Amino acid sequence: MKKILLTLTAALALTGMAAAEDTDFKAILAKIDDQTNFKKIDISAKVTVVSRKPGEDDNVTQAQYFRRDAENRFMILILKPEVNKGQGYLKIDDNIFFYDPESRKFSKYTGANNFQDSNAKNSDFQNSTLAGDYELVETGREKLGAKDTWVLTLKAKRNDVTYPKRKIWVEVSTVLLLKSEDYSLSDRLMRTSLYGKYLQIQDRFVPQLMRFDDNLKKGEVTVITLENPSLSKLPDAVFTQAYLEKVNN
Amino acid sequence: MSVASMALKNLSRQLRRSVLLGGAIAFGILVITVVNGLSGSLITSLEANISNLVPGHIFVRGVEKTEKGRIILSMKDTSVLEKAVTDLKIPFKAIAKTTTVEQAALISDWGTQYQGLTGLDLGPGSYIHDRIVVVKGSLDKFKGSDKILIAEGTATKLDVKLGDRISVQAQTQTGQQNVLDFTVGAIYKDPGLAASLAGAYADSAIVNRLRDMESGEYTNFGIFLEDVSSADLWGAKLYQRLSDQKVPLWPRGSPQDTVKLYRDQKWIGVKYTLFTLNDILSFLKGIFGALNGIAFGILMVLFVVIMVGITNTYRMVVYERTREIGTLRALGMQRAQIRNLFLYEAVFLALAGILSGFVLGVLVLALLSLLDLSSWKDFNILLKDNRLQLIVDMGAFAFDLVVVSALTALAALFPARKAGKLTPAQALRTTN
Repeated sequence: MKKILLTLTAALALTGMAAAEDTDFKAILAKIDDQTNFKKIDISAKVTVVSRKPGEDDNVTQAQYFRRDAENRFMILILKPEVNKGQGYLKIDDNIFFYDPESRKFSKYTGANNFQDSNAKNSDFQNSTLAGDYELVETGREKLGAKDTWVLTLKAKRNDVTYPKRKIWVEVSTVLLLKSEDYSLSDRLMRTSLYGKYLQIQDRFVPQLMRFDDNLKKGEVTVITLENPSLSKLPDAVFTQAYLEKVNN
Repeated sequence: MSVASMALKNLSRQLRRSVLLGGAIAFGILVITVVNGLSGSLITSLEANISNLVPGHIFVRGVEKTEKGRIILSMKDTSVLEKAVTDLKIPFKAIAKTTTVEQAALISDWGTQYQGLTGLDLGPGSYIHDRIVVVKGSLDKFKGSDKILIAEGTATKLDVKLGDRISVQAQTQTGQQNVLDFTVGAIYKDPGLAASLAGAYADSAIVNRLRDMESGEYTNFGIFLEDVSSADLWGAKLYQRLSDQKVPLWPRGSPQDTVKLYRDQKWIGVKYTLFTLNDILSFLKGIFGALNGIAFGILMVLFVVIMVGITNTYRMVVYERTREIGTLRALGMQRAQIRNLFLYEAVFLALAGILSGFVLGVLVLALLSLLDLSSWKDFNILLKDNRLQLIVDMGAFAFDLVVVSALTALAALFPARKAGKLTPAQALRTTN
């Protein structure tokens, strides 16, 4: 009996390994990007960012989020707290502009900059670009809670990608990103991200819950929730600097 | 007896009035001398302290822009620059080749501090030894190590001591995230308000690793001059020499102005920017200049009030001395001499007031410079050895001397002219 069980286990393992070897992981990465890319649709939603730091009160930011993946643009307009109301982030291609209504000036930011003093990066608000930014180094399989996942270790293709190395957990059944460990150039774990409560809109998906744990600064956590998503077409003017200035006048 | 000596004698006759009027002028001069002296002291100390914290009096940086618009600071081959320094015979004390990380996160188990990190040669001949005061640890064996030098305030906020490990997180030149671990090797005396300007220091090799830069590459070429006041002169000469040698250069300006140019323009390859300590301090010097201007403005308002007082007083004086004027006219003194008599009195009064106000002002400054302000830790950057410096602006004094004397003479002019116009008979008939 013991022998039969051992044989069965070995066979299953070999099957899994064979399956893994047969799996086109480049296509998996492309599918992750594709499923979360709202190509011909505009999406807008209310975003709440809760940032927790040890010894400090929770910092809660509410914003209106607009995204147009077809043009590689997004716009985030801060609604609360009152002190930051009217600030905005506008992404046009690879440029991110931050608007400060007090000085009425735009500053140039990058995707690597933190969003509103949280652990989230500006790049966390754009569509996924894993296939374009990373190449596969290692693959594996494990359980994440009750979910069966592929574990992929990725290395950045270029030296301007924010995290030179990432380890991601992708749900096998849905090909959606569930977890990510982001590493520095010196291979130090910097951030652990969790993605959940995916909302399906037509054949696209958007995570309604994202959690970012800073692995360097103990106890610092940022949680982002998306509510009231809408697919109504947005005016072109929303994705312009003039809109941010107008909204604040 | 000359008109001038008569004027002096007349002033002593009305001592109380002269002291009161002269005292008012002295008070105004005292205030402006102290304000000028204080702002001079603050800006001189600030200049000296800032020059200790920033790596040079003249700076050159190489700036590149990637295809995606990212700005990269990089100095690799600087032989042209170093040759220009040699050919111009620039009188320098030290050259500092440093790598600057403008925003690094220093992370301990107890907190995070965001500040600049400078990579440099911390060996025995380094400029840093003369610039900062190490209060704990030493700069020995920093070269080639992972040791880090931090300010007292930073050590307190991070709750770390010598030998503790901290992580330093920063972006590489191309915007990637990187983290390296450092050991607290030394702690230096806090420069107070400028703690964030001073930042942390470490060996250039490890900072270059953090920034993913090549060995030997750096971001700042800094020249420490023997005389910091010549920074603008030598900066201009160096800029001209590099321009003559067709080195691609940005227009001169403050660091803030040139950063705007980087963002707005496109170019290929490395383009160099040159600025001096004065360019960095120009904003602060402007504030102190404005302060001096405001003080002078207030002084002028004060003197208008004093002038009104002087005019009224001299009108009264002329009225009181009408018979005396009549007597002098009868004895042969001319109108102009009568007029000048009163003008001399006013000017001598002003001079006495200005000189005594100046001397009192210098005394006040001297007393203030004796105060030990070591409890003002946050304002160390504005002090020298925890004290104000005794700075007396002789140029400003000479200017005040001329202006205030002229204003006093102007104030006394109308009553003096009126006195001069009195006829002897008219004056002698007066029964006051």
